[in-house]
Amino acid sequence: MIFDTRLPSSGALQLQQCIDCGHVNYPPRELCGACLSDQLLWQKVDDSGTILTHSELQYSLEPGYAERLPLTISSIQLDCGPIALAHTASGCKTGERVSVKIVRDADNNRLLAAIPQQPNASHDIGAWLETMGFQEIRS
Amino acid sequence: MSQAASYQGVALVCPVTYGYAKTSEQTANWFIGSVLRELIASAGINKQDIDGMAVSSFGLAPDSVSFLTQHYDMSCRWLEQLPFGGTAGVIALRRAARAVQCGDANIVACIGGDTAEKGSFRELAADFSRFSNAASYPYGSAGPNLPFALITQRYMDEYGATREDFGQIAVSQRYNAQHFSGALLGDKALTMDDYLTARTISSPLHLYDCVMPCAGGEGFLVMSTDQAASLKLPYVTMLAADERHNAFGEDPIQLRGGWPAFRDKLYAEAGIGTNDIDLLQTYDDYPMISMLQLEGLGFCEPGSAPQFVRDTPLTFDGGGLPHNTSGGQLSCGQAGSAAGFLGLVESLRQLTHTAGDNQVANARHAMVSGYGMINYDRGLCSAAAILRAGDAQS
Repeated sequence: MIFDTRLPSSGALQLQQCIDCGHVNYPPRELCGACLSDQLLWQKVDDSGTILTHSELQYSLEPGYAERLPLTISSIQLDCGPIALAHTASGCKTGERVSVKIVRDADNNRLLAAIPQQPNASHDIGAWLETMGFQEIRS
Repeated sequence: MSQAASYQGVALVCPVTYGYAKTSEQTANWFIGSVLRELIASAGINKQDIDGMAVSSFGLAPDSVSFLTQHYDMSCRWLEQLPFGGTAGVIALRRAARAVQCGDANIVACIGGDTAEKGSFRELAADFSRFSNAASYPYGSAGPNLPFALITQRYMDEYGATREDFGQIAVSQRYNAQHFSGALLGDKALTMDDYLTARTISSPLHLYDCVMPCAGGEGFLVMSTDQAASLKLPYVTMLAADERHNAFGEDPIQLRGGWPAFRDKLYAEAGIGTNDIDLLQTYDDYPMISMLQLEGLGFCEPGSAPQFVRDTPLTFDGGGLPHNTSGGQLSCGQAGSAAGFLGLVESLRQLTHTAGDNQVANARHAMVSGYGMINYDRGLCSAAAILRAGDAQS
């Protein structure tokens, strides 16, 4: 299961920021969505966001995901502007504040993952990371 | 915004639905050409009388509409290819109507067709667009189920919609499909209990919220009303049509499509209102999206579609608002890009009173709406047309 997410490296959240107008772009693209400049740089950005809504997937078109079901995916309004779809720690709720990191899975895919900013007993982050095969998240 | 020129003098004829099957070893090319053959036979014309073609297909590559002219040994002076998915039918109609009005073509065949093999839906979803490939498909690989699950959940949270409300749409359409011989799922009844107890696909979506990918073709001809009359073909006219792409892109979750951006103008140009619409065909890739169309097209206020479907029978013979009268994609199957033609072709059958057992009594005006092209987190294209039975035209 190989995906080209175009994310530059794992660890802190980096997204394409426009040198000319400052706009933060996601999904990855060739030109700034705001001013159409091609001066986009992958930069560390504020990784805070709010879960707009989420879904628990019970069906996947990829066998590699099928064995890890159910999966939680959420839509996150990032404070730095864009909307991100991201793997999300179980137990996260709509409206919850999360940090979005870039993780690597067992196939070396770089993926966005959301973890709660204020973890409690309902978020079993360790178990979730293990199930997903994600490399541990360092901020 | 300027007033669009009228579509006066344009006729839509010869609705064709062809070859629906759960899977097929035929190519998209075969489905498109088979629809073309049926259109020619139905109109009683010669192949060379067709001088324009508007085609939509997800699976036609490496061929394109120009290559089809050699496959079908025809010479055209006007061609369009429409990569607009669920809006392809209405947009094909808009383009073809202007071509006929301006004299760029005499008869345009508008066709959507696609095949379906085992695994072909996964291939389409895994390489659908650059945004989807990078930022949607890697997150669980649910295809369109993911964005629509997210939209549906947010809508439920925002407006209190329940699963029963979505079920009203699916169950009513199955009833309609049981009266339409072309529906792939028309021989299977669907009760509200069946709907509610179906397995989860991607919460809150369950099995009967999701369309079944299939193979099939849909098509119709566009020509002048004079030509339709001389060929003695029952025809339908168009009162208004419009489209929007990436409307309201600033909405964090797509709780409205593009329809509110042009709805008022559409009704003003048509000279009629929602109360005059005898049947509505929405793009029902998921019941939620039909609700957005009920709201966006003015049949009810934003957020009130759940109440609307509780109060309004949606069956073809229920006396309410006949909706997706052939069963829609939810009961006919989603034949790739042909799905963007399904509601339009069904409307032509209804307005020419050739529908069969699912005929809406006294159908005079139809509204057809399209939606599609899920690039990342939402459908980018919205379109709608208001049609009138030709015999009502003065």
